[in-house]
Amino acid sequence: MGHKVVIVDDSGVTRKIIRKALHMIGLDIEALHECGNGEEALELIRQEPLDLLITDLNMPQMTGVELLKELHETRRAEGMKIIVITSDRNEERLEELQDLEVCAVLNKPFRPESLREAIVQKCHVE
Amino acid sequence: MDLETLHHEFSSAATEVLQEAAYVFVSPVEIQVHERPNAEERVRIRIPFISDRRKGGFEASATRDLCLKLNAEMLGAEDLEGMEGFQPSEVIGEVLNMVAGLTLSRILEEGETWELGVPETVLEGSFSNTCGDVGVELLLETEEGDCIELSLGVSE
Repeated sequence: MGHKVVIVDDSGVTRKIIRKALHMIGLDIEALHECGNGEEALELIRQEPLDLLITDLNMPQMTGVELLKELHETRRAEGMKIIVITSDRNEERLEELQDLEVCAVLNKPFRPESLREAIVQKCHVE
Repeated sequence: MDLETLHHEFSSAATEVLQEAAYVFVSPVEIQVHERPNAEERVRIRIPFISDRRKGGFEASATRDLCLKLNAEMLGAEDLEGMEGFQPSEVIGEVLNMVAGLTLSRILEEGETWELGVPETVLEGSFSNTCGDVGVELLLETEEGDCIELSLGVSE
């Protein structure tokens, strides 16, 4: 059975890169959504349970950290695997993610193999 | 903040990001002797940052053609589908975002918390970055002769 995935990033270029990487690594996808910020993602997740959330941190309106905190507090992240792909290498912020059910953090630019490793080995999604 | 270190780290970060993200190899060009690219034809982006000890901003500019090449390389050159909805400012903004994140992780002190703003288009004015006490400007030339201008300004 395919996975339901959402890519959250304010950069359309990055969303396309992640989308392409997901296809390259051969992940079985049933539905692939794209959102430009945390607010849009939250709205989507309220309507439809997802298996995998791939999010940036630095976004307008609602940041990735705000999205993850909201999901954590409302328990909407239960059963969903979360990967952060970000240019933000701030150690303190990355430590903060450990309490927010994040399976893996990738720095931009990333390679498709790194995304595959994060999905399969760290999130245990096949 | 030491100007030489700032220049070195900023230049290394920009070179690494362009190579890794877009497979574009660049060499630095002396700004004084190089004919500065026409500012009106370039897409200019700025990303501010703030830390608990300083603030500043990054800027980048490139021609639309170079943005198109970067976009193609970032997505895979054969991916014509990726050209749909092409936004030059988004491409150069994403490159600058990666350069900024990498540079800050190298130049700021251990334990210094920082936040990077979102990329914003610089609509008017000539390309001038230096919004701080210390400023660095880079002009990087690709193997095809296209130039990307980058700058970083920091205030204590």
